[in-house]
Amino acid sequence: MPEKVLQGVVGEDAVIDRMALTFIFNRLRERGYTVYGTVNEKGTGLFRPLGDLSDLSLRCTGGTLPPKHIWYKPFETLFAYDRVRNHFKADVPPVKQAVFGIRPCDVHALLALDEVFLGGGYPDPYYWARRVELVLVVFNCVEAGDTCFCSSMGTGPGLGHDYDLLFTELLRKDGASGRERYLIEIGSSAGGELVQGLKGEEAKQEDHQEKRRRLTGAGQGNRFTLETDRLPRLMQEGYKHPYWEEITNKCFACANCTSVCPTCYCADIFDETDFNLRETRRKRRWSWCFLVEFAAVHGGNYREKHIDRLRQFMQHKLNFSIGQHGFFHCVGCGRCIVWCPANIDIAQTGRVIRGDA
Amino acid sequence: MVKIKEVARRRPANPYLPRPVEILAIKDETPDVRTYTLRLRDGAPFTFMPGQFNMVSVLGVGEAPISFSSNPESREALDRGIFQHTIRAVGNVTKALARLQAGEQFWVRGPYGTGWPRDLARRDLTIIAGGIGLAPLRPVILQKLEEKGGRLEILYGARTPGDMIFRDEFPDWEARGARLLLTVDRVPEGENWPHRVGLVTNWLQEMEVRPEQGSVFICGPEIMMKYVVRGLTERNWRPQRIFVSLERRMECGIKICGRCQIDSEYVCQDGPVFSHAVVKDLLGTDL
Ligand SMILES: Cc1cc2nc3c(=O)[nH]c(=O)nc-3n(C[C@H](O)[C@H](O)[C@H](O)COP(=O)(O)OP(=O)(O)OC[C@H]3O[C@@H](n4cnc5c(N)ncnc54)[C@H](O)[C@@H]3O)c2cc1C
Ligand code: SF4
Ligand code: SF4
Ligand code: FES
Repeated sequence: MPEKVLQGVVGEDAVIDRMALTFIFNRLRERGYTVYGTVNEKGTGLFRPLGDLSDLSLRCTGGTLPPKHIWYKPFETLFAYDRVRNHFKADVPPVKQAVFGIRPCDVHALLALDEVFLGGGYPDPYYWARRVELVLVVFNCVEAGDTCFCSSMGTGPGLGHDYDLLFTELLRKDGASGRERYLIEIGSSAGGELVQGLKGEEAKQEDHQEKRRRLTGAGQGNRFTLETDRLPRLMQEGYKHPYWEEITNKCFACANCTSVCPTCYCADIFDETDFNLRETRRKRRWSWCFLVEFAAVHGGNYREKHIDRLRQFMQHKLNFSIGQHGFFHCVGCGRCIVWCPANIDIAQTGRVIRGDA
Repeated sequence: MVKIKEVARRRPANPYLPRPVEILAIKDETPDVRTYTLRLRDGAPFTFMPGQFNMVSVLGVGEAPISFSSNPESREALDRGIFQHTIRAVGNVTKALARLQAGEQFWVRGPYGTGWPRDLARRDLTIIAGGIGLAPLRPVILQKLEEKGGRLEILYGARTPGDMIFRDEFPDWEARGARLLLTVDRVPEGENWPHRVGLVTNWLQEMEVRPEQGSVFICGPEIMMKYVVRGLTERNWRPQRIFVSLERRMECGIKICGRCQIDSEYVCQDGPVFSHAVVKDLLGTDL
């Protein structure tokens, strides 16, 4: 095998082994990055800061919970006001963070949040601070998860853009499946810098063919599907479809679905004051359209009815997001399906409303 | 699409930081509504369009969206940066505001949102308001009384005569050419009320502004707006000439917190003033 030393140029590729992960991990740590990756905690895959690369579990495909908290904190302070000094503190220094093993669907979810937090007239400095130096070490999915429908939503199982480094697992030389050979592709100068000097093998045409084959296989492995052609219009026309009643009758209104969605961004903003009344902090915390108080105002509640809240969640993902941003805010990660105690399934809902099921 | 490399170069200004305003005067409109005359503490000019709002804070309590109720082109606005908010005390922030006195301060950030269409406001105009809903329309009224172009008709309803805001200004508005149609849900015993009784929808037939020439601006409880729009539609008003100001729960005012969404619209930035042509298909509300 011809050896190859990576120069770190965008578009460059190589075949590497597991040791390369250690190389990249160590380099990120040397550069002062907090490196997040999926950690298997009692069978649950969570994105946590990695103390050691051996904590990384690439088995949990996309993570049971999404990596959203890395760029959008469940709780954060927007400013602190000191009454005595009449002074606002609102520091937002950029932070160096990297995610190891983020999957294509979650990169698409991140791009959706980019539009929300940075795409409007008032970009959010807190999101910005965690986003601008974010390094994405993406792993393409060579196996589909049980509830994924990324190939329907066009968000996976492979990623073609917006990665710093992209890994695709290849078969072992003896043909067995394993986690020892990867095709690595460089997507940005930041990614290139991380692998400069890394030794691997020249990537051959067969390796790229194998990548394509494995991604096609993973896509075909999506047991869930949803045809998106004309979907927003059909969802709109199906606003009063009897199926909404049917699933509302099963739904516990537990808000699990919205809590685990990688593209949900809604929030509460509230004040908190010290006991000595000196400092007030204005804080933001995640909120969800499934909560009864979400749309409550004096004299009424715009979505008091259970059916309206369930419908808002799904219509936003499969319909309204198109009107807002031009792409679906459902990336087909399937997490809301996994977490639903009532077996309610957004892909199935979409299929029923459009008349495909 | 946001290109993160392009966004990365410039750190955004912090849009959440409010500015202090000094309360110059307070006027009681009704038992629970007060009009605050305000100026930024630093004396800087403050410009806005009628229909827009501020996120108003009492630090330690929270924030609430509140429309401007004054004329942005008045002398005191242009020369001294003075503006007004008219606020009904209903919850945490608004009740905390009600405890403040002239000379004290609170905080604002804004202005946010869309305004009433200025070109249409200059022509024949009917304003239809319910309760506190007259507050975001007062800037339009005051501007129009100055300009004297096109007729102005105001159909205003409240629960009782005592719940009408800006009541002491009505004679002046009428003297300067506005046609007022006032109505209340009920008249308390012993009170003299020479005007109408009943929902505003019952009095649409008294409108003199014609669909061919004029426009209608509406603000009030959503249920009222819904019936008004229905009534106007039956009277051949086109959706392009009907404008409503919608209320929704708002936490940010800047299209980030997601709270004010109706279908694909964000009320805080795509609204709060919408043409009926835009909102008529919004589901659930059937406006
Ligand atoms: C664009 C716009 C312009 C406005 N302009 C004006 C104006 O000019 N003047 C004016 O007086 N008002 C105006 N309003 C209305 C005003 O914003 C609200 O009355 C205000 O937000 C109330 O805030 P608060 O903190 O005082 O009340 P909150 O404490 O937020 O309570 C208000 C109501 O919300 C409900 N609520 C709050 N929290 C919960 C919860 N956790 N669960 C269930 N229900 C809850 C309750 O029903 C309560 O009565 C405007 C609103 C909008 C959207
Ligand atoms: S709606 Fe469900 S499947 Fe779609 S992105 Fe959110 S959690 Fe994933
Ligand atoms: S997870 Fe399922 S049961 Fe819970 S709110 Fe969502 S749809 Fe309803
Ligand atoms: S108020 Fe936050 S998005 Fe409109």
